Amino acid sequence: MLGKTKLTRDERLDEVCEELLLAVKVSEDEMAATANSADSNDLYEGLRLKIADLGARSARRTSAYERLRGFYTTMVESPRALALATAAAILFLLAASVVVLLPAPSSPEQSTGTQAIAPASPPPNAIRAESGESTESIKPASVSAHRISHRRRGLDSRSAEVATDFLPLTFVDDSRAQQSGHVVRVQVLRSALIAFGVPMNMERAGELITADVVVGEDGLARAIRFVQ
Amino acid sequence: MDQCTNISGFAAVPVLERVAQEPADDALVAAVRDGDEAAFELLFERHRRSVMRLAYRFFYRRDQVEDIVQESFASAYFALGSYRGGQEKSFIAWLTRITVRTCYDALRRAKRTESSLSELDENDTALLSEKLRGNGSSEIENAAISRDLASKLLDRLDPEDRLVLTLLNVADLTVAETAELTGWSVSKVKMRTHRARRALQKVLHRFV
Repeated sequence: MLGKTKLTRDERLDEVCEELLLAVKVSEDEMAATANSADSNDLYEGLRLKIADLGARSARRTSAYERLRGFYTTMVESPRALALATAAAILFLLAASVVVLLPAPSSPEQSTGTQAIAPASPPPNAIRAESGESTESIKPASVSAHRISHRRRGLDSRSAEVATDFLPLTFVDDSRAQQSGHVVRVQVLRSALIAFGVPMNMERAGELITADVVVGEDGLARAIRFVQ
Repeated sequence: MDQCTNISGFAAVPVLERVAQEPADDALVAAVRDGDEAAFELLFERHRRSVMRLAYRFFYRRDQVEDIVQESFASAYFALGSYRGGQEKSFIAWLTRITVRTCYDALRRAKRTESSLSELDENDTALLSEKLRGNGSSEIENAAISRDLASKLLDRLDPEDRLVLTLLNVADLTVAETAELTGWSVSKVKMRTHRARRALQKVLHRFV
């Protein structure tokens, strides 16, 4: 029964396909009416203008091509000119590669991961996500898009916290590094770790964990780290 | 052939008096190559209906068809240098291939600039659903699909699929003729046809 229904539906699809293709057919009468209309002179006139326009464009392209060809010929025939042009091209490429490959300056605080952001003082389990509870300013707080690592920080004498590195929430280059901001301690669902590629136990996905969020002067969250 | 010279002559020379006995296509092509604008106009008048008829297989709006006619003849004009005649219907076959290519390019442009005009309204959707699900009893189901609705649905196909379905089913060409016009092999035409039908069924399936 199921097989018969499927066949019928396919047949109906075929029928409707045929109907569609027939529907777009224009009758011979319609075509003849258009072809015999008095506007055929306008049609030819439009064609003439189109040809003249296309021809003019082609002529411009041809002359541009000829200019390039002349330039190339000069290069080939004059070794000195070729050498100068090659040297200029190499210098340009070198300069471009230096600019592109220049490593981003990293601050000492970021490399240690301990002092770039002053830790929030209240204990983790007493605080919810409130922007008013910001703590110390950060200095400097340039957040690079390239640092997505997870390592355990050594125990600090001030607290028994272990935190990940700060993970960027916005990707800004170092030239736009913010000079000041605030760190807000919040609580987030453990499942948020997944979005940052941090492994987590799915059975505990609904639990809350502590996170420090770097908020810039513009109010945008710049980075986050998870604290244990 | 120096097209630049012909183009400046094309714009300046007035239309000459037509000859009583119309020469063959190949002779007219040779005259156009020599800068005779009247010969080109004669070719245009002689073959524009055929080009228009073919364009009407792909498009049903008059302005679109006229654009196709102009573009096809303009392309033919600039390609006259590559025309190799010698047989009775060489020119019309050559011009037909150019027209098919022009229609295909127009389909591709239309696909790139799909607009909200190709969206279906509620009536169209209801009609299609009835046709695809019904059993042949209701009035809606038996109503004809409008050309506008059919065109909107066919617009959703890839240009190659639309091209092959149009040539085979709307223009009623054979597989061999379609292969010749498109430059594809016969096996490719068959494969494309099969894929095109599947694609069209997939478009319709959304309304089941």
